[in-house]
Amino acid sequence: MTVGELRHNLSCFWRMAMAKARSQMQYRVNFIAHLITMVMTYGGQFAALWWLTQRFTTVGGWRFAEIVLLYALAILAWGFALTLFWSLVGFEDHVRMGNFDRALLRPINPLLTVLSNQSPIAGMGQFVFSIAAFLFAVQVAGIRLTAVKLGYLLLTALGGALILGAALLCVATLAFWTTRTYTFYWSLVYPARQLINYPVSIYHRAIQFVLTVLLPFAFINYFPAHVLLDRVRELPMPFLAWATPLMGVVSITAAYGFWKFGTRRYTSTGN
Amino acid sequence: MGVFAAFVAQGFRQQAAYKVEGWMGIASGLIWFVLFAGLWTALLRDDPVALERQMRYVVATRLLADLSLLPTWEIAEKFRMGDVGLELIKPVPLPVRIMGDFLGRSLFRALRTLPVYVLIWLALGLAAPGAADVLLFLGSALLGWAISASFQVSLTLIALWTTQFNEAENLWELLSSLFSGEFIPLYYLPAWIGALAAYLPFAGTFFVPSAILAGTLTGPELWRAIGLQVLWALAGCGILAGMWHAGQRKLTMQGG
Repeated sequence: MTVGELRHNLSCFWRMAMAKARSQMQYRVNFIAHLITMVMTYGGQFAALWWLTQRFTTVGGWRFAEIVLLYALAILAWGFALTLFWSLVGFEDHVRMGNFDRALLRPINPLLTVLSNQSPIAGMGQFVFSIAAFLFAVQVAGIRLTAVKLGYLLLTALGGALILGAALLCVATLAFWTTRTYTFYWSLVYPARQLINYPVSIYHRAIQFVLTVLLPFAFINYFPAHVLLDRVRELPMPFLAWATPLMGVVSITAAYGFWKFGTRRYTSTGN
Repeated sequence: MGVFAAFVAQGFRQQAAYKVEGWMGIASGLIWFVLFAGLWTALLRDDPVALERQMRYVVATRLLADLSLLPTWEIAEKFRMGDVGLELIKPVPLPVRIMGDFLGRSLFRALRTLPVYVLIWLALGLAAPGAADVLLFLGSALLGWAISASFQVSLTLIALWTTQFNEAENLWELLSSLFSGEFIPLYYLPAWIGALAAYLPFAGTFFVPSAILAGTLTGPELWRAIGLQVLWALAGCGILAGMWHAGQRKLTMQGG
């Protein structure tokens, strides 16, 4: 793809995504209700975590504020992932109804057409909440912020979003064979995301291996949190703490390869 | 009662048709089990007796999670699309059909995953529960299902007045996640919150049956908890019947 083609693709994607954002903002009450629900859900999770750490002091050696940091990193990455990739969860509708034909006929990358069905303001609530949680964690856990740490935080959020996006892209690709995405998301990806709300070190070694190598969600928050907490040396392989951006790129590249393979399997349902 | 049983049987058969969803449901349950087993092992590592008890509790909650999964969004879709109009001309009231159908589907899901959790129970070397505990657990689980289903379907019926209203259900789920004992047993909550939660309907959905199987709810406390479950189940069914009766007159159809 040339630079000109890339610019054309991204320009079309941005226009379609903004049109979607404008249409979503027509339903203001729904949007606000969604925000309130999200705040209540995360608030509930924090309350449960607070009660647990009140009773048991630490979870696998991690204090309340440190686990809040894990939450903050996970929510921040999820905010970016929602903004860019959430429409993939509903991709089964495109396959079942044959709407993917439209994406294939447009003069831009078909994946960008699918992604542009998602409003770019979808992750707004997550951003606000994660920043608040992060500031709280910084304050209570006594994190010393430096320019390097802040820069790496941003890279971590983007890398984490790419890892989550890769998972969603794989789920969407499965629709070419199974015409299902919602089931795979809610049954596999959603609960797997909840695993990283706690330090990965509390799980059995086999699960730690899965979360590091096969489904590398540990890179979204657990490993980079060691950088922010100045605990990199505690890791058996310290370089993992710095590997989130690389893991994000590797994950999304592999998932895109799977997607390209899947699109060759697509058979339209006709008109 | 015969009609209700027929809907239960129909729901049971219908759920059997969703094979991929079935396998995915089992996979999902296992991921949640991994999470809670890891969490409680980390928290109770130094107390083997409490850890063993908590593992029994976690297995019970995972089984109950399959039982209590209620596809209320299907009812919401009926309202949104205007299909609810067809329900008014049917001889059996909508709540009876829904409750029967949902119970059949819940029973199928729970029976399908039961062998997985029995294997986990055996693999972890947990002590076998007595026959009386198992019977009490089953009875309490069904009462918990009745509480959860009656209240959640009632909340969905708010759509009879407002066409679409998800927030009440979201609020129920949030309160349930905090006070039902699905994630944290009430005795590990701060004392005053645990005491308050014991009287709320949510406790009957997860905590009471799970605590029975874990062996942490016995004696007079057990019978008091089951009595409360019966009261909340009756209250939920009463609210559901009342809302359907009142709501039919308020219904505004969508579509022509």
